[in-house]
Amino acid sequence: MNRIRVLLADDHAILRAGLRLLLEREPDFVVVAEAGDGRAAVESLAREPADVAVMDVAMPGLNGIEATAQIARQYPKTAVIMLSMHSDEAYVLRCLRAGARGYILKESAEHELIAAMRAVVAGKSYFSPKVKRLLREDHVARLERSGSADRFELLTSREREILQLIAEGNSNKEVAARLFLSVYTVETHRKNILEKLHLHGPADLILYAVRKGMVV
Amino acid sequence: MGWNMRRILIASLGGLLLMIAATGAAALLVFQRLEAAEAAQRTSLLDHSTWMRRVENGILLSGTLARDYSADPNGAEAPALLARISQVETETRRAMAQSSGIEEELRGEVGAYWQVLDFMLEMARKRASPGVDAYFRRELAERRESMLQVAAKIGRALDSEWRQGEARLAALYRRLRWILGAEMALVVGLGLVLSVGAARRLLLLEGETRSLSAQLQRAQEEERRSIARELHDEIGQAMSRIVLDVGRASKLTESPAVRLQLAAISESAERTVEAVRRIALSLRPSMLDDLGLVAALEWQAREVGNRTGLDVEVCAEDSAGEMPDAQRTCIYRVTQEALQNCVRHADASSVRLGLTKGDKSVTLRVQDNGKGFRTARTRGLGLLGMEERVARLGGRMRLRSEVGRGTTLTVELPL
Repeated sequence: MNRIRVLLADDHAILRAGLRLLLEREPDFVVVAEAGDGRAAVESLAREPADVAVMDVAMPGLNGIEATAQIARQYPKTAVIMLSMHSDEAYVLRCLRAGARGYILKESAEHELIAAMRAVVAGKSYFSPKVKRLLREDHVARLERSGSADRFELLTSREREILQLIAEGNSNKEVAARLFLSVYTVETHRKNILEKLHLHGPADLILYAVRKGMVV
Repeated sequence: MGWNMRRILIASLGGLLLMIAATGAAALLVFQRLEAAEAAQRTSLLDHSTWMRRVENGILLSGTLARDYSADPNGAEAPALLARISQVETETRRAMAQSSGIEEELRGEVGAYWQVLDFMLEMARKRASPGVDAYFRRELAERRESMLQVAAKIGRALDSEWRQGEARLAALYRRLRWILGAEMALVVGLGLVLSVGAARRLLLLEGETRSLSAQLQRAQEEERRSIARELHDEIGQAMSRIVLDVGRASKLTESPAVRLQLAAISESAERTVEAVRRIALSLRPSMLDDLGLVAALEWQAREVGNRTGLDVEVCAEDSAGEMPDAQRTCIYRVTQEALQNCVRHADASSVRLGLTKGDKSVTLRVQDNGKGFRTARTRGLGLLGMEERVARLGGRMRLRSEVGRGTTLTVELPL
C-alpha cells in the first residue's frame, strides 16, 4: 500500500518533534522531510515529493503563506494544510487565497491533524471546528451590525447546491457529473454565484461556505 | 523647553528690553541738555543785547549831554550837565564790565571814546574860548561819527553772536539725531542677532525633541513586537506541544482518573494559549507582520465590531497595504486611535475605512456617521499623538467634521 508522504514545516523543532511522534503512530503516514522555514519547505519538495505539507503560518524568512503560494504554483499535487495559532478570518482567508486546502489550529492538532490530512488527500477541504464556528458567528454578527440583507438569499436553490459541492472540494467537472449538467453550465453558475455574493475567487467562495456552515 | 533654552530666552529678551530702555533714557537726557543749552543761549544773548544797548545808550546820551555842555560851558546848567555826564560814564563802564561777551576791540574803542570825551570836557572847563569851542564841536562831531560806527559794530557783533548760537544749536541737534539713530540701529541689530540666535536654538531643540520622541516610539514599537513574538512563539508553541503530548499520553493509559487529570492539564494549557494569543495581539497584531496592513486593519475592524457593536467596513485591496514597516505601523496605529475616538466620542454606528495607494503616497480615510465636533475647538491628546506620528513621516493629516454630520479623517503619507 502506498503510504501518504508528509512534509512538516514549522520553525519550532519542539513542535515538529511532537507532530512527528503523532504521525508515527499512524501506519499509513510517513514523514519524508522537515523544514524550519518556508524557503526550506519549498526546496525540500524538489528532492522529496510529498502528498501533504503541514505548514506553520508564521515562520522566519519566507513565511508559511508565501511558501504555500509557491507550492500551489510549483507542486500542485501537494496539498497544504496550514497549522496556525490564529483562528482569525484574516489568516484563514489569506491562507486559502494562497492555495491552502486545510486550516487547523495548533491547539487542536492532536485531534484533528490526521483527519485533516485524510480529507485533503481525498481532495476535500478541512477546517478546525473552532475556526468554522468563529467564522460563522462573526459572519452573523456582522450581518446584524450592518443591518444589510444576507446576500445568500439572492442565490437560487440550484446555485446553493453547486456552492455546497464546490465548497466540499469538488471540481467543476465533478459537480457537473454529480448534477448531470455540462461543465460549461456549472462554470456559468459559478460565475453567477461569485457575482451575487460579491466574491472574487475560489478562496473567497470556500471561506464564504465555511461562514455559512456549509463545510462540515 | 529645557533650562538652558529658558535662560537664553530670558537673557536675550531682557537684554533687548534693557537696551530699549537705555536708548529711551539717553534720548531724554540729550533732549534735556538741548533744551537747557537753548535756554542758556537765549538768556545770554538777551543779557548781552541788554548790556550792549545800555553801553550804546550811554554813549549816545553822553554825546548829547557833551554837546549841550559845550554850547554853554559856563552857564548855570553846566555843573549839572557835567555831573550827569560823569554819572552816565560810570553807568556805562559798569555795564561794560558786566557784559563779559563784548570783544576786546569794542571795549578798547569805547574806553578810548570816554578818554577823549573826558579830556575834551576838561579842556572845555579850563579854557573856555570860542576857538576851543569850535575845536571841541568839531571833535564832538568826529566822536559822534566814530560812536555811530561803534554802534554799528556792536549791532553786527550781536547779529554774528546770534548766528553763532543758532549754528551751535543746529550742531547739537545734528549730534542728537546721529546718536539716536546709532542707538536705534544698535538695538535693532542686536535684537536681530539675539532673535535669530534664539530662533535657531529653538528650532534645533525642537528637532532634537522630535527625533527623540520618534526614537522612543520606534523603540516602543520594536519592544512590543519582540515581546509579542516571544510570547507567541515561545510560550504559545510550548503550550501547544504540551497539549499534543498530553493528548498522546491520555491515549496510552486506561485509568479514567489519570485521563481526567490529563484532560484538565490540556484544558488549562489551551486557556493559556488563548490568553497568550490575546496579550500578544493587543501588543502588536501579528497580522501586521504576517499578513500585511490590510489584513491587520480588517482584524482591527472586526475586533472593534465584536467588542462595541460598531459596524466597521474596510475598503482596500491587499496590495494597498504593501509599504515599508514605519508607514505600515503608522497607518495601523492611527487607525486604531481613530476607531477608538469613534467609539468613545463620536457616538457613531458605522465607520468606513478606506486605504488607497498612489504612485508616491498612500491615503487613509476614516469616515464615521457620528455626531461630529468642532475641529477648531476640540483637540485631544489622541489627535495630537496621531498628528505627531503622521508629521514624523512627512505626511499630512486632515480632519473634517461638522456637528451632526459625522467626521472624516484623512491621512496622506509619502512613500
